[in-house]
Amino acid sequence: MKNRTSKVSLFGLLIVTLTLAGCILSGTFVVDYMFSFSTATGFYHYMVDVTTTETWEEHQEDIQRIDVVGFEMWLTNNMANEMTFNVYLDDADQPTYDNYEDVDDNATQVLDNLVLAAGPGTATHVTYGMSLSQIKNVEYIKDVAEAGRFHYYGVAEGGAYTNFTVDSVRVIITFTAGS
Amino acid sequence: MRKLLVVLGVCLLTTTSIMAEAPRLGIGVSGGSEIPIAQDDQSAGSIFEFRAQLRVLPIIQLEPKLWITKYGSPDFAEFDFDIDGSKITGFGLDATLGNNMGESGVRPFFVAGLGFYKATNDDLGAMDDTGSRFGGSGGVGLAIGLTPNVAFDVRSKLHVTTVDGGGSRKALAITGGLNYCFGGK
Repeated sequence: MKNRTSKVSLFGLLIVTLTLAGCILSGTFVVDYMFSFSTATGFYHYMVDVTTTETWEEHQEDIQRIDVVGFEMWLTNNMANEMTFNVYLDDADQPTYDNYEDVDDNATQVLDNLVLAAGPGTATHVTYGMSLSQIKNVEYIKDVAEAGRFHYYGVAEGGAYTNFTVDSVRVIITFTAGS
Repeated sequence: MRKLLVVLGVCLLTTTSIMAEAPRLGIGVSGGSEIPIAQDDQSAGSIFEFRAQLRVLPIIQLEPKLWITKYGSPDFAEFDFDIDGSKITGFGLDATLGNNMGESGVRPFFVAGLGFYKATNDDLGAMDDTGSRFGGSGGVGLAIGLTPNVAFDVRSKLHVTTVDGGGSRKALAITGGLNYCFGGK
């Protein structure tokens, strides 16, 4: 009887230790992925792929949740008037769209009406914090980010008929991973 | 049978001695630093804890507690992480082993507890995943009885909070403060 009690206690202790170890081994990590564009057509597309970053590669098998996704962007307005900038995301396995109408119909808008100061040649820096204050469709963003790859579309109101430059974009993802 | 009687006798004596001593009440306040562990999105911040103390057995105290933690914002070499750290407000119950309040001298003790943790960060906008989560803490402390009623109290505790979807948030809290015991001897 005593022997059986000891075994049960030992098993219980093992379970508690393993559970605690699982909790202890998890962590929250931040990855950033920066890209720029070679064209300045007023319509921007890029296939974001954070799976190549070191931190993501290290933890990709154990990702438990995406905590936060934000953006940092540098843009230049080449027009004399103010304009607004919008960001859309889409699953990586969806086709790549090459015009504003298709993007608006099929992709998901995650940032809208970011104001680019009147130019010409005026630079706007959208910080990570500023992007978080205007982000929408949060659950969708987290879903596409979990795959590590997604389409990024940047367009201004008026689509290809406007003249602005997205100089570069940084995607910042915070995630929890652990065994 | 004889063995059983001896055990029962010891239990009876212990219980009588315990019951003879009335429960003792106290309050305490502490402040210090909370250091996130394996949380890249937070940096060390401050913690303030308020507690009531109830001595239920000579070496065991129960401590209902409220605390507030404010983390700092981490620095990244590559970019400006221009948002504040999260704020945690929590309530729970600790139990200490060895912290005999109301007595003079140096008293090392163990502390363990359970509670609800609510993390908020207005800077995250719609990404802020506000909600109360269950968690636990455990650690060691040292109480130094300055007078029969007042004790200096230092503690080091590991906080572990569950996270929806799995995983946890962990932090080490190091605090110092004062306890006041009503009716210390």
